[in-house]
Amino acid sequence: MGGEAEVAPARALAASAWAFRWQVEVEASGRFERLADRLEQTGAAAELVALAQRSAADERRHAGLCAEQAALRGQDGPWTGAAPPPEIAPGGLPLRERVLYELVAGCCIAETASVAVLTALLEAARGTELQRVLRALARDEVQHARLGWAALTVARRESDVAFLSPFLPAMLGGHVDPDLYAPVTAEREDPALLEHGVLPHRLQRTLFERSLREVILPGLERLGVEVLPARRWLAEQRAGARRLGVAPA
Amino acid sequence: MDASTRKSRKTAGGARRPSRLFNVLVAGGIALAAGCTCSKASQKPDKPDDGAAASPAPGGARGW
Repeated sequence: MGGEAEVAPARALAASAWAFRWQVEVEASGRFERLADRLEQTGAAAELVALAQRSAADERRHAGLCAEQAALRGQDGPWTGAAPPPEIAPGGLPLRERVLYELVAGCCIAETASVAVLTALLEAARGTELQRVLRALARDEVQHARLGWAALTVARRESDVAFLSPFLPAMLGGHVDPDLYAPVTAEREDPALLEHGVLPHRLQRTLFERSLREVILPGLERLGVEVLPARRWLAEQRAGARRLGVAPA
Repeated sequence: MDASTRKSRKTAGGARRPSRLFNVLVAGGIALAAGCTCSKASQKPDKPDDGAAASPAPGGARGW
C-alpha cells in the first residue's frame, strides 16, 4: 500500500466510476421498465414480464447504492434526473425481435459480464460495507442475466433466433468501454482501485474476455445463435490493441 | 497449484466443462424458461418499426 499521494487518485477515479454507474443503473431501470411493457405487449410469458418489472425496481435500488459509494469518495450529486434510455435495436426489426435484441444485448451480454466482474470485485474487496454493496448488486444481476437467457430460450422454442448473429459485433462494441482495447494512464491500472470496487483496466479486459469465452459465447451457441461474428469482432479488437502496444488480456 | 492438483476443465470425453458462471447464469436462465407459462401470441400484427434507426451502442456498458 502506498502513501496518501498514491491513494488519492484511485479514490477520485473510483468516485467518478461509481457516479457513472449511478447513471448506468438509472438508465437500466428505464430500460427494464420499457422491456416489461413490451414483453407484455408481445405476449411474453408472465414470469418474464414480472422478472423485467422486478429488475427495473432492482436497478433503481442499485442507483441509490452507487450514488452512496460515489458520495463516500467525495463525488457530489445531484443524483436526480435521467433521460429515457435510447433505443438500441435496429428500427427495421419487428417489435418482438427488437425486444429480443435488447434482452440479449442488455442481459445475455451486459448483465452476464457484470456478474463476472462483481464476483471478481467481491473476492478483492476488504471493506465490509463495500462487500455488502457488491453482494447486493451481484445477487440481483444474476437474476437480470437469467432473464435474458430465459427469454432467448423461450424465443428459440417459438421462432428462429439466427437473425441475432450479425448483430453481435454491434452489441459487443456497445457494451465495452470505448478504451477497453486502448492504452490508458497508469492510474487506471492501479491495483488500489480494487479496494474501491473498481477494476484496473487490464483486469477489466481479462474478465470481459473470460466471460465471453466461458459464458456468453457458449450460451449463445447453445441457444442457436451463431457466434462467429462475435469471435471475429474480438479478434479485431485484440489485433487493434496489439498495434497500439496494449498487452494481451 | 500444479498440473496434478488443478481441476480438469475437460470432461472424460474431452469436451470442455461449463464454467460455474455458465451453470449459474445460462443454465439458470434455461431452467427458468422451462417453468414459464406458454407465451400468448400477440393479438397485434408484429410490424417492423419505421421509427428512428438504432443507436450504435446497445447501452449495455455497466461502468465496471
